[in-house]
Amino acid sequence: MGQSDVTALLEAANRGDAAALKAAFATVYAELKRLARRQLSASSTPTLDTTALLHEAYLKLTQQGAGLRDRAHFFAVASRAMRQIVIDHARAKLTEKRGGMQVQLVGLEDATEVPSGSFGPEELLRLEHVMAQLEADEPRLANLVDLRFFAGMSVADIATMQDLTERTVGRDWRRAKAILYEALYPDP
Amino acid sequence: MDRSRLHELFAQLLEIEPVHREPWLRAACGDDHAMRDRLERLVRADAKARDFMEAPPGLLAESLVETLESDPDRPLAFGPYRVVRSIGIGGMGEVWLAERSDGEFEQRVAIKQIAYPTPGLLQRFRQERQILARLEHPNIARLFDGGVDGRGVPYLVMEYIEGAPIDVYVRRASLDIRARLRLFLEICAAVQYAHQNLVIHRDIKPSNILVCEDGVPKLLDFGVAKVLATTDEAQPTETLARMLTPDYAAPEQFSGGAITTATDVFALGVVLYELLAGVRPARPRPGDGADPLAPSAALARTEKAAAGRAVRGDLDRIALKALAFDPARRYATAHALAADIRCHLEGRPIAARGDGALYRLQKFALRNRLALSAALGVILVSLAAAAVSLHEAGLARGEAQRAQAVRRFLTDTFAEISPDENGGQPVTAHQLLDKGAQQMQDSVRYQPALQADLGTLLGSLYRNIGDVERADELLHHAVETSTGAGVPAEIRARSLIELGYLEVDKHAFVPAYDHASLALRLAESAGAAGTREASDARHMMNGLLVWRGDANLAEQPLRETLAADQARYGEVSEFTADDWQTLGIALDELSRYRESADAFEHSVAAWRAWHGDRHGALGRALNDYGLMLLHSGDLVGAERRLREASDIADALYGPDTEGARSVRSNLLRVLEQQGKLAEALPQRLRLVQIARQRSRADRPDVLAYALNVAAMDRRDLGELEEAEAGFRETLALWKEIKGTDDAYEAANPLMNLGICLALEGRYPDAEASLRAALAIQEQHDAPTSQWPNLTRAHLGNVLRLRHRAVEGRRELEAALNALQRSGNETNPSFALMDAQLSEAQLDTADAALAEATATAALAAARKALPKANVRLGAPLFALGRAKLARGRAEEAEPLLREALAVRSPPHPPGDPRVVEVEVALAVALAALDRRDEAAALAAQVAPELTASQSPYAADLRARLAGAH
Repeated sequence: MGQSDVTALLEAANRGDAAALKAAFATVYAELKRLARRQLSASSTPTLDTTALLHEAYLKLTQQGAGLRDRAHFFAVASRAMRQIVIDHARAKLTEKRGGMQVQLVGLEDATEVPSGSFGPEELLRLEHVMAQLEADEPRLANLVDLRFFAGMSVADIATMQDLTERTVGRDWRRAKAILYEALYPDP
Repeated sequence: MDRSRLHELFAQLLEIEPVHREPWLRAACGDDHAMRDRLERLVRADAKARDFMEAPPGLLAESLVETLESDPDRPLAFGPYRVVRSIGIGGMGEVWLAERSDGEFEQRVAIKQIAYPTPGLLQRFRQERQILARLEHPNIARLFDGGVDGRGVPYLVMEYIEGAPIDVYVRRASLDIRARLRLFLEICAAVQYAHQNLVIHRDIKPSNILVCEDGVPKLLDFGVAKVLATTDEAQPTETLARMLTPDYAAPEQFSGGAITTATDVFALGVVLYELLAGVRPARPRPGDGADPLAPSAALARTEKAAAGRAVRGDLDRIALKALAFDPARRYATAHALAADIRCHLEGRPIAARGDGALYRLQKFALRNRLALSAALGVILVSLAAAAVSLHEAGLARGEAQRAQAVRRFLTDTFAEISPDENGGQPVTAHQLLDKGAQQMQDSVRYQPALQADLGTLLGSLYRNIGDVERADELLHHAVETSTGAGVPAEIRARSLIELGYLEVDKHAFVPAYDHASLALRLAESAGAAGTREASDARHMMNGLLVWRGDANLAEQPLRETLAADQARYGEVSEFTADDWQTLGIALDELSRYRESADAFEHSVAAWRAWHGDRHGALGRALNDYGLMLLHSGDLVGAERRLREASDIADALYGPDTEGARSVRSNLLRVLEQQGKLAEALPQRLRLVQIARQRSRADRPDVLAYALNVAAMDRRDLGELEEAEAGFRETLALWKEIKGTDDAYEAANPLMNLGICLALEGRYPDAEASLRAALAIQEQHDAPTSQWPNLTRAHLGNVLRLRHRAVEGRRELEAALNALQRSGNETNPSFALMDAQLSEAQLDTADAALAEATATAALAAARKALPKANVRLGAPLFALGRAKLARGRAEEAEPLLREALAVRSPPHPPGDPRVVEVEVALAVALAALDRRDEAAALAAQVAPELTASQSPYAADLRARLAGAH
């Protein structure tokens, strides 16, 4: 797969070519993992700069001077890929832990107060399930969650990329969080 | 359930204020209880989800890494540099370690690439290259090269810094506090250097400060740096917010406030805090305005209590000041921060604690003072900020609550102003002060002590930025308020002193002196709390004594103050430099020129060492020094100093500003003393013109001085009518300014007018004018000073011309006797006076004595003046006359010819100063039996003599006739 091909793939995907989307996705997925490896192995600090990662991938996989719209498409796909990477890994971990058995996804047993950062494997799988629903209802919000949570982009950067105001993005983000939270930890 | 409707309603609901939600829900949902229930759940979820998903999932890192393997895709080379490995991913993209080895040269470099070349990033990348290219400093990573790779992506080749981030380094090396501070000072120097090159780093943090094995710290990654004074607003600043490490970003960066050097100072403060306390300061929530915990307190919370003791006190203060929430309260420059740290290391008092440094810096005016120019908003804010902090610190010595109140007041006031409120324009100091003054007026609840304090502070700041009116209002009010009950003596003293400074600015020296001496008494009564005020009051009184002419009274206290300051601050300090300068002026007044030169040399050296070669204080000192040399007759020396002072003033303030003009005026006097009047006059007239335009309204005294000097030039160029008009206009101005006829400043123009009138032959008016001048001068100047004696000599000369030679001679003798002669042999004014005495002696039939006097005068004049200088004319003429009277015409002739040569030009033909020599020459020629020559000369001169109304012309006619 050549460097400039992902743009073409994405364009095709936009026109409805499912195979093209799959191919694009796979390329990005692989590239992200490769870049992340390099970033983590080389630096002395363990923090991962995910947005830089996406930029790096973008550079590697697309033509120079691609427009904002193409960039937004790429990032939508790339951040979706990030989510996928994380979920796959979470699934693998859980399978490992429980000796290969399939994990129960309906999880009200862990409904406690706000777990603001402890997204362990179970949490993540539940999140994935809830996000699938969100994707169906409000795909824009789901994309936003991908960009913000999985790709680590700031509200400001997202706003620029999608050509919206920060206020709008902020409001949507707030809404998305409320919806996800309610879904994950509903009141009894 | 209609999910899309649910989401839509929820979106709307979030925009509604909680109090209105109930009714809205009822209206929107109606009977749909299920919908309503879901919406309410969502609202509750929203309330709890504030921090939800704000941090990335912990699994992210490990999910992205499976095995480490080498990367087949990395670039191999950039030009002559061979890539070794990746260093990591920086703010804009990947960074590679590379090597260059082309035979002799082995060098390791860091190559920085841009990950995503959007136009914005590309531009910033280019800018980083430009920025780095101009920065050359041992503590800043050097830029070696730059280029564009095969794909068109630009890269930078930089110095490879192999080292640890500074926080890691100090831990590993177990550095003590002092060692950490020394390291930190190097970084401050680097940041200051960058600022001086108009670059703000904006992303200072420990990971951008690497320390190499040899212990040298280096500042990296100017990638997000901003160049000051750029007008290109298209720079994408907001998207960079991601790249800023939140912990090191100054509060104003979050609220979109102006990024200034204070922002970098904040980041330095955080780094300093970390170096001291081992942890980062806890961020206050926006809107809190609270300052973080002091580093020593932070240390005390951990087990490192002992370390806390080392840090407590000065270092706490320094760190907290650098971290002040309000940028106006921080150190204005990295240099200021470093200076305080250095003070701490050397055991000296720090500025943040307050030793009156700023108050000292608000220097009162001395003669020919250079005006403070209106500076940029940022700098003035710093000045205000510095004043505020010092003021606070001064108060903290007294009552803590009052300090708190002031701080709160000023924070409230200054924090409210942001460029957004101001239409995006940077806030000027004037606006800040106006806001403060308004606030103060509105807050009647402050007790008198606080009111007086604040009023004094604000008034002094207004004075600093040149708003005399507002300063006057506030300071007078402050003085009044301070007489109220319960106001501590030192606050009263302070307000009186500030008022005094203002009065000196306005040349109101008498009230200034009174206020200063009252302030001194009050300050002394306040004991330790008033030491600073007492010192300032004494300084002001010394200066005022000199200014108003009581230099002899001032000398002793000045020397005492100098000794005290030398002991306390050393030779290289602004206080010592200023003391030497004041002493120099005092000695100038006393005509003790050699001692004065010595004092000035000390002053200038101290200023150079303290501030460098281009600073207003040095300029002022050189100006005063040059003037003194002018008075003493050392024209070469005067020109040298005044030229340097003029260059400084032009560069710092601009050539048309009042300050620069006054120095240039002094420099022109050198030309005039050299007799180059024709050259000087047009420049003089230009200065008058500028003064009329720019200074007439608020500084009429500047115009008055300019007119006076221009008139003097005209007089000596023989334009007597214009000269007279000029002197009269000057006097009228002084009368208007001072409200009286006999202000001290009127003396010199009166004397000059007298000389002018004498040349016109209007002796009664001339005498009156000179007597008026003398009366004023005798009130103010020491009897040994040259000024009254010069006037007296001119008076004597006029009396002689009025045929009252005996009286005239008496005046002249008195004048010369009174003068302090020693050390002044080179003053040409004395030669003039001797020449006048010689003529008086001649006219009282003492030819032998006249000859002796004139001979001595000429010898002195030749020593003091350059060859062919116009002022040699008087002694030459006097000696010529004397020789003639003694029958030595052959000796007289060359003298008189020389007198003619030096006097004309600049004096025009027909000028009495030229005609009198021609007459004498004609007489001499006649005595030498060269009748034809004599007759020719006499014929040449005759018409001018007949045309003149002057009694002197009659005398000259008589002399001419007597020769035949």
